[in-house]
Amino acid sequence: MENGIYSVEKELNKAKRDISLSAFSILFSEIVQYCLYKSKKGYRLEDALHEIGLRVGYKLSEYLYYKNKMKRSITILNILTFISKHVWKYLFQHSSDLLKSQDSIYEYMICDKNILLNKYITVPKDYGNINCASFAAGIVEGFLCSSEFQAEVTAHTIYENEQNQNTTILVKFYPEVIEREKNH
Amino acid sequence: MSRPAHRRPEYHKINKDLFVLTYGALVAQLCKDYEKDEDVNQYLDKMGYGIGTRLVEDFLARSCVGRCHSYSEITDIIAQVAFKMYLGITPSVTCNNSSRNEFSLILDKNPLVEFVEELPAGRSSLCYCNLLCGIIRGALEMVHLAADVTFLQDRLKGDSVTEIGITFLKKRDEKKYRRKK
Repeated sequence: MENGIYSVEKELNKAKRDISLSAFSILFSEIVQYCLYKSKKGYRLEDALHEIGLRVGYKLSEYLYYKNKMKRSITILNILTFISKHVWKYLFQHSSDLLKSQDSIYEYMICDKNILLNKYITVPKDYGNINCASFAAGIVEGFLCSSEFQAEVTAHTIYENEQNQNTTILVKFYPEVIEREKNH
Repeated sequence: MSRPAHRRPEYHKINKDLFVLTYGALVAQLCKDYEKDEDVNQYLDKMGYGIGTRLVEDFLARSCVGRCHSYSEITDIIAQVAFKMYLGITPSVTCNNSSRNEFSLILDKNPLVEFVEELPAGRSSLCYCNLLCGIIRGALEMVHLAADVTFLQDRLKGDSVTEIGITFLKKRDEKKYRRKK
């Protein structure tokens, strides 16, 4: 048990190392196939991917603040900026855009023009609007919920024209969070 | 004007932590969906097989290795080229028997278990990295080599090192050729 604690300390302080994109892409495609298999038993594909992403998101919230030597965010705008800049850069090599919804005070959007996860994925027409970036949505939800910003996060595909598809991650905060923010 | 013969395709890299955390999340999800350790191990092996069948094409395209003439050459290439290319580590190879068809890869550092301290309680016979066994088995089968790949030792289960054993099995085709003669 003692050995275990020291090894985690060592890993937390290691320099960043890279891995090939193809290894991750092929692993991710197997995960999508597993979720497809689960969808035959009644789960939705996006829900299954979302659940796996949740687990990743939970681990990241502690680790990334420590790694970036920053204080934890306590306001909505701070944490969402942290996610769209630092978390996205850490996971997907580029940062994303953060937008606030005009229609609802509870909703925010994180837009990514070409998300790494969907690079090698094409969705057949009969699957409708499924977006495998639900995995990223799960990561964001795990990150937010473990930082006490309860929200529902989903991924949506926006079709700009025939060829281009953008991914938008919609973050819908629970009313308690917005109330808490107002009372701050 | 024409492409040089040995030009390698571009080599995009991403953050290793995303890969490691995704793999951990996958194993955790499988543990939630299947109660028995054997089922999880089997499913990981099956997924690894699917990955291996496709990874081998990517590997052959990027690495430009030539034809291998013996099982030990193949195991050396798996250890020194393939593992290095995909996981950034170089396991050491030992040969286990005199008929030169059983080999072991000894992994000093295993990046897949970077964030794992110990196996959860009640999951003591879980082979956390069983995906690797499936990958090697699938890749070898795509180049027409049948092999049995298992974990002989596992650091997470208390052993001192992580050891993957590869046993090359006799090809069924060999018998057919003999009959034709």
